[in-house]
Amino acid sequence: MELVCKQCQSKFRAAVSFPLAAPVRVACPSCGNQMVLKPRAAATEPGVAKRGARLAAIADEPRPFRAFLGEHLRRLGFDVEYFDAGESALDFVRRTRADLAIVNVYLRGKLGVEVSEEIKADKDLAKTRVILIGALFRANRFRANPTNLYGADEYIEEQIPEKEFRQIIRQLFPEVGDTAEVPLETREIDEARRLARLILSDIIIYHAAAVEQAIRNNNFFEVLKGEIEEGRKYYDSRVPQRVRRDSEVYTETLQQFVQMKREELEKLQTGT
Amino acid sequence: MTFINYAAREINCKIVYYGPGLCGKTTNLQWIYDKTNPQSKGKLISLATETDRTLFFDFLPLDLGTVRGFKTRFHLYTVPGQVFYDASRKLILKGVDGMIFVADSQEARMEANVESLGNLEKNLKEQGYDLKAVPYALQFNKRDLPTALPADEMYRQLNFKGEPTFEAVAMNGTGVFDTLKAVAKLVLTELKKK
Repeated sequence: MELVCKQCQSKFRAAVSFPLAAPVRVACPSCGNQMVLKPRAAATEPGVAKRGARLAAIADEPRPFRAFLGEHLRRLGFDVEYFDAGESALDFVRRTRADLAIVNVYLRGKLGVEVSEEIKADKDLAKTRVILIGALFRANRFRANPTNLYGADEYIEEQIPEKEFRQIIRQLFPEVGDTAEVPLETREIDEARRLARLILSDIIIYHAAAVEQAIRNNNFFEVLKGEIEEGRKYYDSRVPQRVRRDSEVYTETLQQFVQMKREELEKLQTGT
Repeated sequence: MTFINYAAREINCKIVYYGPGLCGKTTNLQWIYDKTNPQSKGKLISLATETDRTLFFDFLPLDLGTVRGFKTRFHLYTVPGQVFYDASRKLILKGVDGMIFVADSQEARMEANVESLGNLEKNLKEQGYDLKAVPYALQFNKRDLPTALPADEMYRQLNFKGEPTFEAVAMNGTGVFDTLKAVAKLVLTELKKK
């Protein structure tokens, strides 16, 4: 079996065959790096993966964009594995019959476009969807739409808005619906919390000195009564009544902030 | 919507600075005002209540050329940034020709940036505009702060349509005129199409 060293990216052959029955330790002949190959449930029966979640491989340099993609895929019910190099991503996709491979056009070693072509040429991977990531995007610079996707199903660039990315995933996987996401009630409460944090953040940033003094004097709610009330009105106008009825997010957010600041202050005073 | 003053042979365009509270909209406007030729600018007007501030002034840039023999006069506005002054923001967006979104680079204000951008899109829609079609530039302000997020990360979260984007430190004028010029050019391009 041909393997790729995660450390030096060199290819070597090892006397192991898949599927594995038990973990196997192998060492790279070039750099000596030791790797443990673990058996995967999905790999035991190629083509009839018994995993609960969909599986995605993301091959891209470690950067916030990669985490962004992974986070959204997880929210849509995917298990996500990250790779820095094309070979290891391709190897993973082949072993696990991953449902989705998102690969940067340029990768160390094997290029993303080559990974895409090889996946698409592999009959066993007929169900694997491939998305290419444009290698570089900068505002204000010339850009052109790609003319060749090297077999990939979709193409994205780093500036892709969240909504658009989710739309692409839903197009590729129509079964990924709203049911895969957090329930409506949770989303509404999260939204209410976010709004309460924003209002509080504005109060703090516009009245920094007054807030600090009020925390010291333990009269935050009296001193900033006007601002808090103004914020409350806006909060009430934005948050559905059923959410407001079931939870007191706005007041809780303010109280948590005051408590946190009080604790910070106490720690400062006691020197702990 | 542009207003044409035939007597003065001027086309009047409205550019609005949008963004979360204390992101530097006023600082941008103040810098432009201070550096503009006194003969070519109007008064800096502050429409202010106790906390809800809106600034406005107009000026006639000399180096942007003319549109069919008409000079262009730009009216610059800021909006109150705090989330709860939504009604004022909606009013100020009426008749807008170009938008500049000023984002605060501090990590702690990223949520406020995202909210404000969503609010801009929504309020424009209510006024019958589409941010995708409106001349628009994005500015990452306060780049000098140690808590500033990487520009790439901000771009990923705030870019709307591949708009011109500038890093700025409005306090010392860095990026202020670059941003304004970019949106002014887009506005003029739109005008020439009409």
